[in-house]
Amino acid sequence: MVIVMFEYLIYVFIVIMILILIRAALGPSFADRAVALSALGNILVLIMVIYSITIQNPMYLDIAIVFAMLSFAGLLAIAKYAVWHHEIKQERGDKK
Amino acid sequence: MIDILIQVLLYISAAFMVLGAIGMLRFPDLYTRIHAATMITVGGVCFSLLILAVTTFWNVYTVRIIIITIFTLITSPTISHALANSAYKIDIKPKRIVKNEMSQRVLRAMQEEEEEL
Repeated sequence: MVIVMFEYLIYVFIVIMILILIRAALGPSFADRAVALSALGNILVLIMVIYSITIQNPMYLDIAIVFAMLSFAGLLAIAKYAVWHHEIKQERGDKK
Repeated sequence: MIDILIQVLLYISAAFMVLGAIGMLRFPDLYTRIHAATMITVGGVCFSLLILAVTTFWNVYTVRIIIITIFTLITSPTISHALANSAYKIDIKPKRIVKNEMSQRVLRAMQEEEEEL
């Protein structure tokens, strides 16, 4: 019953994703890119849910759940790895 | 009637997302950009997912959409906090800052760790 309106909503999502991709491309530090990728992943989850409601197939909802979990784990790993890498680089700089 | 209401609410959440995306482009700093990205997630995505859960009431879709909503509401602030914390530890300071209370705490904690060692 609410299928027709999603056609126009997809174009709005495409514009938003292009704006976020510009920020992910020219973000100065790693955290800018990671935050942009987090927002991008959430919008992708929303698009998957809308698509699964549109084509009346609940398979994409499971894919959306797994995608959200993997995005969460990957971004946490990026956040931990950056601090670790910085500490190792500082130790080497002190030795030299 | 309800279709028009749902459509208006979905476009309101899309407007939130457009404002957040413009904020991510225009803000000068990492921490303000994190604020804009969290506005995209909570004001746009979670709001839209709640509207879709009400729309498909009561279905196979509804339970999974509610699960995705709760999961996104929990994990998005966690990711923002972890990224801001690690960015502060790598000496990315906020611009135009007047008073930094965090630096004293960090220095004190580092001194305590050195004393313990």
